Amino acid sequence: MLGLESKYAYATGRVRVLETRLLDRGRIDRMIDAPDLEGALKVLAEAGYARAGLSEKARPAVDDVTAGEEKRLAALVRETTPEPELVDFITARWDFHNLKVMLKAKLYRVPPEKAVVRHGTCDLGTIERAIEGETRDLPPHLAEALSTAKAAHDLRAMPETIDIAVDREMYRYLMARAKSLGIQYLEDLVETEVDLFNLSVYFRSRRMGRDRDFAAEAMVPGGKISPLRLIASYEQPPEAVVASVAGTGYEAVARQAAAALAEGKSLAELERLSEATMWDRIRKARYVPLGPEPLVGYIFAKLHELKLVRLILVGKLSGMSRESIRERLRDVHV
Amino acid sequence: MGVTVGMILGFLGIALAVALPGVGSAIGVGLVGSAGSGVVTEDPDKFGQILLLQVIPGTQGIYGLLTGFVLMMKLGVFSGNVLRLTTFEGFLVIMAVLPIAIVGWLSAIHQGKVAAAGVGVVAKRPEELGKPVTFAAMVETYAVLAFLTSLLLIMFGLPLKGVA
Repeated sequence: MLGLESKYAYATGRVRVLETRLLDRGRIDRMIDAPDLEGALKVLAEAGYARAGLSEKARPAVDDVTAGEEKRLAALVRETTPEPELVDFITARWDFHNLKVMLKAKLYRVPPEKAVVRHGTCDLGTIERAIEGETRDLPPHLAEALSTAKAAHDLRAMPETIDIAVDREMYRYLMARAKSLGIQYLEDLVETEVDLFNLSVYFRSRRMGRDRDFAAEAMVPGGKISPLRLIASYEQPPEAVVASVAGTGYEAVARQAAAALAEGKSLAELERLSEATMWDRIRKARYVPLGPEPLVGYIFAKLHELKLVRLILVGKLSGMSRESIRERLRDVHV
Repeated sequence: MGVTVGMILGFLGIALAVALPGVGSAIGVGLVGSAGSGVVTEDPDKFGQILLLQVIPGTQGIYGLLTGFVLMMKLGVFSGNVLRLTTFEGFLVIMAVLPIAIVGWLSAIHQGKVAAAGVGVVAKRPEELGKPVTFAAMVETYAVLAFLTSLLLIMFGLPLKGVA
């Protein structure tokens, strides 16, 4: 009679308190207005961020802050959810990210240390050995992503082919996981991520002058937008894409991105609209009183918040002006 | 002096009156407790407010118990001289307890859901406790109506004479 509502009641209770500790617009503004990285870290410390407010003024401090929160988020999910697989929606991203970074580092002979996530579930040594050819210990989903990325790179020897191939495998994996868990809201969120990813691939590929096959290979099936329909408009004028996404709810995003493409403007608008669309979907969980939605919504909201925090801290670290940081976060929903 | 089918039905009526609302209340209270434990893990100061919400779905179990007691008195369970009901009378007893048995069971679960949702309100706006309490109390109305119906039927609507 209660099913998921009862299973997720404890998680819902915890999340309702934690939601109040998410950074609000006021705190984000204070972080942006802080004179330096130290000041921004102090604001985070007030908001309960672990290890924030350290005196280190270096990149590791930024990584420590976000890594600490990511670990806390994963621990929360492990403690509260009756479905341990749910934690994959946080940790799988780290593993795929590490795979991407380490493969590029190996192929382009650059040190990966600064870019890897050290708290992934798959040991960095295992990924390194797998890249060398010893894939026995690598989980099957990562092994598949590795072989796909290597094959894609053999065809087109560019770092971005690795990014696209691994991202595509990651979304394919997350889609399959979401379907197996049977949580409709989670499926919707991952579907939205996939749709926005496909739109991003479409517009960026066109902007970079890539051919149709390149974009078609990079897209992930399974979302509301059919990659086939999207690709059908690839060689037509930019506004033709709006018809390809008709009835999917992404018309406004496609229309504005197409206009930016046609006018040769930056695709930052696409980024902003994608964020806004994702945030709208995440917010729906706030109106669900009980069930898995509040926890799933919180996971995505926290990941979104960490993205903002990273943007601000890296901006502070590199000495960007307040105006520039604010411009990058323009209309970001908090 | 054997047991009649009517007596079995009468005892079944007592069992239904006590058990179904009790199960509903246990589910409802449990649900609020789970959600409340989540809140208290993060913010122990909210224990008192959440406890108030948690007790609300427990009342149906009490209504069921009271109905059961009144029926036990009516059937002479406490006097040691249990009325030997006819089959027809036994069915009447079952009919009389059905309102609180069914409404008590289901309303407690739904009230638990409303109160558990109210835990979310307390987590974010503890000063608004009155509102979730009022929402949960609205569900109580129907449990009270069913309780009164069963009680009045048992006290005044059952012409129990039994067989000699």
